[in-house]
Amino acid sequence: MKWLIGLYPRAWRKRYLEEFKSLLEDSPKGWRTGLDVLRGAMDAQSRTPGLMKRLLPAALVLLADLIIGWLNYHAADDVQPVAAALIIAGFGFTFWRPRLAWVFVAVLWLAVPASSIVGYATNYHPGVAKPAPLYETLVALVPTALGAGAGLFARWLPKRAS
Amino acid sequence: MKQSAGLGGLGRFAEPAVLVMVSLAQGAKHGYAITSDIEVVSGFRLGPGTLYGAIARLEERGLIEPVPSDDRRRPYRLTARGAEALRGHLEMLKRVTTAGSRRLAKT
Repeated sequence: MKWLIGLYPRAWRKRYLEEFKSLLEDSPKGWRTGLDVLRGAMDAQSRTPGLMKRLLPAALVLLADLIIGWLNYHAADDVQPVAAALIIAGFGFTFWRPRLAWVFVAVLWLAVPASSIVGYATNYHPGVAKPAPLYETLVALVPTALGAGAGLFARWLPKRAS
Repeated sequence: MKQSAGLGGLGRFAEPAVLVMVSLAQGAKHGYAITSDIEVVSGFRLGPGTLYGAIARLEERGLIEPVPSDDRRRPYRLTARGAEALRGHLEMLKRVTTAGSRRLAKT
């Protein structure tokens, strides 16, 4: 249950970590305590200044996900817009926050299988005789990784030059 | 209803905060001692997340303060401002309790 403490803001942990851990050790173990700690973490996060700033990357990557998913859902034979969106988003996000590169790659890439599955389930596949969600999913890894790799490279290049 | 001075804006933490202050009115206590005391006094057991949500709010408002200690379990005590706020809040609760009991007796 101690892993839940990681959900509290850094400033909060700096101030209360040791005493909170000690109290947690003495508290009854069970889902009620876990839920209470989780609620406490959400409360502490909501009271920490700069919440919107910290949530911005998540909000933007979800927006990019929706756009990529929408493009993929409506894609006919021509998947270039989807590939271009994955490259651009992968590049932009990893250049912006290189430490979160793998998270961005995973989340952006997930838009493709998710929208493919929706298309497959609703039998919506304009211009394609037979949809292939697995193939689309595997192929989507290429532009996503390409964009993210380029973003990391662009970030690393000036450091190497200096 | 207007909250008594110093306890306004505590939202859903108002009740745990009052319980914490009542416990600390007896003297300085650390988290576990506060939880145990509240359980004895009120019959409620505050979870760690709720307790520290209340402690953080009370400390922010200067109603309680930590007592210097080498122990992992840091004790807290009521400040003068906290004691005043608690007194005001309990007075208000007393008026509400009296009015409520009187009205119930008439039914």
